[in-house]
Amino acid sequence: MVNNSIALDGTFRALAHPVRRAILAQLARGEAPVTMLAAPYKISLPMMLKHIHVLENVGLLTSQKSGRVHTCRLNAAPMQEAAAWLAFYETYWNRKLDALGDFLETSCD
Amino acid sequence: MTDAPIAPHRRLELRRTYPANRDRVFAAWTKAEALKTWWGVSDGYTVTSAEVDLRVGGRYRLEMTPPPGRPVTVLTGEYRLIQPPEKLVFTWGFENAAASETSLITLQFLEQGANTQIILTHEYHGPEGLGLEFRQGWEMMFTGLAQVLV
Repeated sequence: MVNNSIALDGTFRALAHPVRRAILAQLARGEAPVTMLAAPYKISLPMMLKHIHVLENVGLLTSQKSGRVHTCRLNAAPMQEAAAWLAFYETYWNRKLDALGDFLETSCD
Repeated sequence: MTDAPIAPHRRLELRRTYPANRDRVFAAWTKAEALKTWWGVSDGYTVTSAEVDLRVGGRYRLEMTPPPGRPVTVLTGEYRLIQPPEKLVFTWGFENAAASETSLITLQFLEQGANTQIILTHEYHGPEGLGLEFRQGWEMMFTGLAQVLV
């Protein structure tokens, strides 16, 4: 089953916020400075940094400060792990439900 | 935007409709002989033993002999809610696994004319024992972020 469940929990919680998902979607297109990430939202820079910190803590994002520019970069590996959990069980249960369908077709009352 | 409470997570929901009445579908999940017939098929396992103690707090136990080269698996859990033919809730996990690796499965059986729709929910209770509600996150992950996961 799932081994690295603590890390996975963190990943899922980090993904549970729309702003954080939007940040990741943005970074999927390439690295970006924090100010650019914050631009589409009516949120303060400290709040934005808080979101970034959450993503950084679970390893979804890495950031680097160079002078006054704070650049963020996506690290998709933990997300792949999270997606793997879902993909695994989705396949698992779909197969079970298929098998149940076959059973209901062939069995009698 | 405020920092909304973080939703606990890891929840999978699947729906499937079968041309059978609810009693039959419910029985397929709760009768040992029926489980023995269909449960292992999809994975190439043979369910060599199925025990069902269908009462709240009672357990089920499915012993499965795998295809060659894979370990014997015993799937077991405890019934939490039994409402024939509408709803069935049970814990779900591999025997000898840590309690933290146990999931909760909820099956709802909805009557749709002569058909029955199953809504299957798989909720994973992580080590922190969180309750779960997460659909939005999943959908986002699979649509918007699909390209990231290459």
